[in-house]
Amino acid sequence: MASFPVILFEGGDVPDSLAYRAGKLGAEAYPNVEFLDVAGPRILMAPISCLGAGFAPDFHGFIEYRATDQGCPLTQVMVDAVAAGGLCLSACTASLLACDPVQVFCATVLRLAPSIDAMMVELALAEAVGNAVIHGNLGLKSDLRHSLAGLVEFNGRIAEQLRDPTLAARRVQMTALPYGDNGVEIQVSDDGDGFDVEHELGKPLEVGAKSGRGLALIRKVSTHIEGGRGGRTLVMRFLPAG
Amino acid sequence: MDIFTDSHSDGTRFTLKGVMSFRDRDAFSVILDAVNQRAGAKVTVDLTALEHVDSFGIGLFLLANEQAVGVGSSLHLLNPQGDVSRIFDLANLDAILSLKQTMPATGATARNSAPPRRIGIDYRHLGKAEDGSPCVGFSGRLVFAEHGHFQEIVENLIANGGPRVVLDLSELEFMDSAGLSMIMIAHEEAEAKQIALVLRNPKGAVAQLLSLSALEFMLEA
Repeated sequence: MASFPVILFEGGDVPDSLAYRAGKLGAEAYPNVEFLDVAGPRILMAPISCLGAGFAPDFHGFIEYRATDQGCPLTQVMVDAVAAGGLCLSACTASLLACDPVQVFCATVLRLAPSIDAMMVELALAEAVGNAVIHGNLGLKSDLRHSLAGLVEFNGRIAEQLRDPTLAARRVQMTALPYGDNGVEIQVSDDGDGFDVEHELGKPLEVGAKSGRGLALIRKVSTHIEGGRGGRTLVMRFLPAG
Repeated sequence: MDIFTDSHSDGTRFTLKGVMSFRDRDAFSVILDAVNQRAGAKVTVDLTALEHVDSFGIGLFLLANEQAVGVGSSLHLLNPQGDVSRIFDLANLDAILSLKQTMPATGATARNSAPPRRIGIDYRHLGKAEDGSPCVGFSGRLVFAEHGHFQEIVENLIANGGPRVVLDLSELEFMDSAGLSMIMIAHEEAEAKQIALVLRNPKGAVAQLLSLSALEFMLEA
């Protein structure tokens, strides 16, 4: 039976917006204090600095909290994933460009599915999150990344986009759920305009291409790949080899 | 990184503070000297205040350990915390090095306040390859978020001059397709300056990515 997640809020009283949203989505929220006796899988909501070296053993999710955020970042998808025995992580675009939660999430996914190929999952996750940040949330194309001069301009555009607080605050959300026989299903979602996954996968790729490899690589290293939410979610499944 | 030295009757104790990276190779030489001093010498390195270590730093610890074994001295590493503890765990160094915790390790809990530091890309000169070509090494992780640093790296690579530059990837832990794109750009920029940029020694995930992308031709023959 699914167990309703508990959101533990780091840094004082639970904000009203979180209490309301948690209640609406079938979860409960409490301040993150020591020796709290609550049932249900725990999700920590805290500043990105609290993600530290990883998820504590009794935590199943991490949601970055930013006091400046307009809305509460808790979503039904994350609540459902954790309730079903999975994991979740949500961070904003600015944080994803400043640190690397992918490593942390990948290490935690291996707790869930220890027999899958860690290297393959990390590569797929890094590709999906890179796409979600650059193409999804920042709305940038890769066409500039074909020369050093283009790369310099590309960096300038990233910095420019990040100066827009709305774009910097856009989220990337990762969830992982047990799948099949010792496998895992990972979803990576962004707040961008979405893209046609099938169309992108159908494009021929030159060996010497300097961009556009991400999806093809994910397809190679995963058991299954598909798009969802109008191309704003990428679903990837992995099964142990053999 | 700062190194403090303290001599005791039972050996020499070093305390490392701050961030340890390839930039600290000279500072670390006092530890190498200490382990090489004499058989039976005991060298303790307190890591409590060390915030981060990159793969080059790990290489220095392994080197010091190897030299201690050779000389017959002993090297003991004390209290790695947070990121450092995690990196040691990830690299399975507890199987090789003498690691000891005399106080609880931090960094593995949800309440840990250390920022999730990106183990980004590091770049260093490795001297000359067998044919005399300059050899440079990447270590760490080369991913999409490294775009901002790459221009400087490419310019440094090209500044080595031709006709050939060897890029050693043995310490590069991870690379995504954006990282691969950056290497391809470096390759092309070098070519435009009549420099052949050849890749060497990719390991693990990096070797796998090159193979999956059918780009093994970029490797040294």
